[in-house]
Amino acid sequence: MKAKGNLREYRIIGRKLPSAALKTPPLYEMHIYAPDEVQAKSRFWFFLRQLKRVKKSAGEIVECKVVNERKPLTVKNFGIWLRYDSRSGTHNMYREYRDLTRALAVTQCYRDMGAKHRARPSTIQIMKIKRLPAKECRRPHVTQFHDSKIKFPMVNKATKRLHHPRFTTSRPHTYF
Amino acid sequence: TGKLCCITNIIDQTRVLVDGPSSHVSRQALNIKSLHLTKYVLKLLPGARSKTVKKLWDSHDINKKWQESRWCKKIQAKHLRSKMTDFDRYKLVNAKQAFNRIVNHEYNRLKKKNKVQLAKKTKKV
Repeated sequence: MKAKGNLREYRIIGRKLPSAALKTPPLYEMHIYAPDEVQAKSRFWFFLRQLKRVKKSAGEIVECKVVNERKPLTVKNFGIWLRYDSRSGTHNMYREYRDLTRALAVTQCYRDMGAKHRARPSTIQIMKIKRLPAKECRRPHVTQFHDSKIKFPMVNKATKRLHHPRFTTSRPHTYF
Repeated sequence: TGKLCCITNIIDQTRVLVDGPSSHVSRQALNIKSLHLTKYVLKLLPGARSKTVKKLWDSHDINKKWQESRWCKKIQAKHLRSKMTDFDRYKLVNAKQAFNRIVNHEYNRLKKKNKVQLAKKTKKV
């Protein structure tokens, strides 16, 4: 999978194709985080093949729907349990992120894993994601923001428009 | 886009949740780097709803305070300057010349007067 742009959460329900032996096969549901529907369906079959004896060629997708966040404008803390392959083995991990929606938190996770562990998206499997109340968060980079009277200095920022103008007589404003 | 909004919550080191119901800014996450801080502070609880923000914003009359501030006027002047046509620039040059003519005339008159007075004083001595 290529974790391009912001990921979206898909709820995918699939089943084996009905046959003479099995008239109503059981439905399997998964929540997949992917950049688009096509990659979501692909990931669905990838996982389903691992867990159940059903392949894409012998199955069908009953539903593939985008799941939107219930409250996308409140800041939440998410705990993500994942499994990834490193260069010398496969490991479980628990990571925490602070974001507005589950999909954005998972996107952050993929970026973070790529940065800190050089893990490629195809090797990462999101096992579970849970919204956490503040007191259940364990990671200090998340709990440090659990302060209603939080304050930190806004350090000078670099000029974004370096070349507008490129040559000038006045110094750029680096304050906030 | 040069609009005022209120920081209602902090997401992490680089992003904040921002809201401006009275200034046509929808509630959204923004990067801190794309913001400039003003001196106006609203006493809110973190994550306050748009309704609360609007109530406090209107009661403190932030829009009016902002319109009267120098910062806002500078932005508006800059915007006007960027919209100038060649005819506007011609009018501006003429207006500047007329203004400077009046100022310089008065200044030179006072300077001359001062020179005459100084000459008188030295002569006396």
